[in-house]
Amino acid sequence: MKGYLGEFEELVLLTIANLDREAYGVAILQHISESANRKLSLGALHSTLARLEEKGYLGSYLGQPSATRGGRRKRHFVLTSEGISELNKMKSLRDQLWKGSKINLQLK
Amino acid sequence: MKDQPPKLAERLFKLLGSGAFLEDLLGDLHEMYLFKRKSSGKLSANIYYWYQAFRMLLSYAIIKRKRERSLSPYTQSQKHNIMLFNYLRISVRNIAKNKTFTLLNIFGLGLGMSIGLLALATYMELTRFDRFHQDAGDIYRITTRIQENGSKDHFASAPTALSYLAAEQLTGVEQYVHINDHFFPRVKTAGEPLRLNGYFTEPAFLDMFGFPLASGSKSALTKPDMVILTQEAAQRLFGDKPALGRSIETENQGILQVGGVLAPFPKNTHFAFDVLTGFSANHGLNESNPTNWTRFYGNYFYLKTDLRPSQIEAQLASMAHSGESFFEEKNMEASYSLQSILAINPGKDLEDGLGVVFDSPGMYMFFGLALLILIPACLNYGNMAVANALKRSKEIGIRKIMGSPNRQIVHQFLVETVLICMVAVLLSIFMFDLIRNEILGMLAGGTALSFVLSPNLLLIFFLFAILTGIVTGLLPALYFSRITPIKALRNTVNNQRISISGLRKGLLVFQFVLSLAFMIGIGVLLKQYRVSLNFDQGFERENVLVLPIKPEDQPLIANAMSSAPAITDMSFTSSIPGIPLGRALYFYNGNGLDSVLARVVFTDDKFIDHMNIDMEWGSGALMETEFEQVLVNQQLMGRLANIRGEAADSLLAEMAGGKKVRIAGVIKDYNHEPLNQRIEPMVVRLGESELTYALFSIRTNDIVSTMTDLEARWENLFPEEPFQATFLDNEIEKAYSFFIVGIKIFGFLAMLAITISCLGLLGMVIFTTENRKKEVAIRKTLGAGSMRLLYSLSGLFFRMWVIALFIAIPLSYLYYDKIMMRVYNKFSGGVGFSEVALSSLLTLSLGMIAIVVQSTKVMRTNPAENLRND
Repeated sequence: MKGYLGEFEELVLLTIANLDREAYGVAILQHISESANRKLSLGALHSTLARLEEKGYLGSYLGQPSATRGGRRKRHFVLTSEGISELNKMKSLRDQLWKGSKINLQLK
Repeated sequence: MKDQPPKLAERLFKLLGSGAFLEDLLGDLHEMYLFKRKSSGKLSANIYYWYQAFRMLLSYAIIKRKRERSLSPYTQSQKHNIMLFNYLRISVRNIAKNKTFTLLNIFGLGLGMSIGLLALATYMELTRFDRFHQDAGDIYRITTRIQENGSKDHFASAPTALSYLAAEQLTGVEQYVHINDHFFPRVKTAGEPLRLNGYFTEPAFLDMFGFPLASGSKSALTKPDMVILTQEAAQRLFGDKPALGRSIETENQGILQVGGVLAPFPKNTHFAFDVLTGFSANHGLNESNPTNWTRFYGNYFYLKTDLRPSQIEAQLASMAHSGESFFEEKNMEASYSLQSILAINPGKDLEDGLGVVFDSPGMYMFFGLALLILIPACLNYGNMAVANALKRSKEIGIRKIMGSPNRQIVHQFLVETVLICMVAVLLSIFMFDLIRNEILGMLAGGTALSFVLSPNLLLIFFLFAILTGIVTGLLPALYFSRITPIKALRNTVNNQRISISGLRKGLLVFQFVLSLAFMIGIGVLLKQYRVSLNFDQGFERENVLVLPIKPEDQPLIANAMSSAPAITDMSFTSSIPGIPLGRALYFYNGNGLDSVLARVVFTDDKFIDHMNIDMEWGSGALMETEFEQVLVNQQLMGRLANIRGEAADSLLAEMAGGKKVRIAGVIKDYNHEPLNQRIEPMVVRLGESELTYALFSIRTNDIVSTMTDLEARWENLFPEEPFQATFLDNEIEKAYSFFIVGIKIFGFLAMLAITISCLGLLGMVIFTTENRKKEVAIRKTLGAGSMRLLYSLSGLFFRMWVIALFIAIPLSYLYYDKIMMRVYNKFSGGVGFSEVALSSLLTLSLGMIAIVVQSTKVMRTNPAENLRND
């Protein structure tokens, strides 16, 4: 394993998976703040993105410039195969733990 | 686009994140900004942007990107010091490669900056003026604004009546002092009387200001006829002996007692005095009258307060009511304000200023002059650097291709110029050291300045050099940073501009005119000086010894010295011939209506014979008879004849005070004063009590033993007094020392102008030769002789030189012969052929040297060198 994957990191990776080709800074930020109802700064997000890239779970490429960005290019993020397998590991660990639960976790 | 995020934040973000890849982050910020702006307005969007940008800067994303950037070998390093070291290394290599170039530039910039240093030093000293008094920030003086018939004047002085009212009634004032600056005792000494500048004041003067007493007490300022001397004045009057308790005999203030001596104090104060006295002394002479409102010249009032100036001014305004009627009588209106003593220098140009004042307009002029000299030097540097572009263009081309941004090229050139300026400033500091005493001597109030090279001042000088370097380097730096690499490598940088613009030619001609004019000026002054020293002024000056004496000692000295074997003749006088005369009196016609002013020399009866002065009529030996006998010169005789018409007795004249004198002889006009004074009407009178100089004619083969003999005789008589004999020619030479000062200053200016113009010429020559390298090479390969380039360049220079001559010669003739010689009284040929020829030849040869050296360099290179790459 390439290091520990935090809860927020997992969230970011899954969001990127959800957004697919449209996964860039602002879109990720807005998606997270809408779906998870979290206040988040661009700086914090980019820090996490940079860490994930460093760990090898993410790759990035520069896209097309647009007028709403003052003519600047977007940086699109994509999951690497390592990222996907890490997500799977996390999921299977979670599923296992859910299954093994001795109490009823179902909401009534 | 209207909806732009805050510019400043964006710029700051770029700056602080310099080097890192920021495009995507900026884009994200921008997008969020627009989004926020739509949802919650401009202000909160701006705040959001600032906050987000700030957070972003601290985030790991940027830190990581910066780190990656600095590891990349092909992009700009974040480690500025490494880059700076690189700039420095390349600069040093370039400087070492172009030694002549660098040397010339250092010389040009060094000279150009020297005047700037002078201005800076003056300004720096002025800002420290009067800071040494205790609580100097709380000391103010009352200044007066007078409005009269629409004209407004601002005086540094204040009505005495107001100052006495203020002293009684002002609240919140800790201390106050009255000063009147009209105290000028003329102290009787051997030789010329010594004129002292002094203030009438109060003991509080010494409490308020930082002038500590070395001996005596401040109560001297309350007793009649007591004075306090500065240490320099005491030294001048009494030498090293204690001055306290001694008395000073003056011509105009009676006998004064020394009641105290001040310890040495800093020179940088606006107060300028040798002696202080109380208002009680000679009260009749000053106008410190408590009921006096409208005549306030020379009366000053200083006060010390913790209150704000406006609070005191309000009190003054209400006090001023009692004086209004006095001013109304004269159709004047007065108002008063406070001026901090720290604001006096450099400060407003006030009327009736006290002591040393350097006003701000004067300082601006000074700085303007400094810039006027510095700017051509900077432009010349820029021109030369650009002219030298071809040598550098390859370096720049390669650097650009290797990925260096324009900024780095700019930095390279700035570092280079700053480096050159730092060396040049050393030369300027040397120049500054050389000329500062002359400049201080010329400046009114220069005695208050010291121009000591303190570490602080040196630091300022170096900062000035850095600034000059940056400004100077900007032109070449921007020029070079814009060169495209292709052009640079193909050597086609300058090709679009082969000819030299008319403006540059004009500038050069102007610089030549200046250098010619200054050089002719030196010639004229030198000639005047030489002629003045050797001119036969009409009296004996060889081997004459001058000895300052006290009039009452005259018989004693005559007795003691007459037996000296070396002395062949002697006489006594009140003023040395060849030195300006201080005294004058009026002659009247019979009815006292018309008058002639005549300079006065008191002598003994042997003076005329001894000095070999020619008489027109009569004899030089004067006698006391019923009427005093006098000698007059032809000038005075002529004027007297004019005003008296046909008087009964043409030899009887009336002097000031109704005193009748008989003219016993007429002296042929001679230059009793220095040659720069015209021969004025002059009268020679007998006057035993006025003879302050003894003149001895000496004939000896052994001057040393003669002098020891004379000194021994003097010491026998006056063991206390120093023996201060000098030779008359030396005294006369001293009277012309202003020529030396003039020559030095002209020499400095000429050197400045010549250097700067030659550098300009050199820049032009290099520019032309470099651009015509290819032409010359092709001509050469086709078999042309190599002189062609030299001819055409010399032709260009020669034309400019001739134009400069045509402007400079009439101009200097006009200025030196018609204006300056009016002041100095023309007695030599003025502008002569030799001065003009010499200075023209000098400029011509300097210019030709520059041209020949440069063009031979181009012509001697193998044509293949210049053509190979095409």
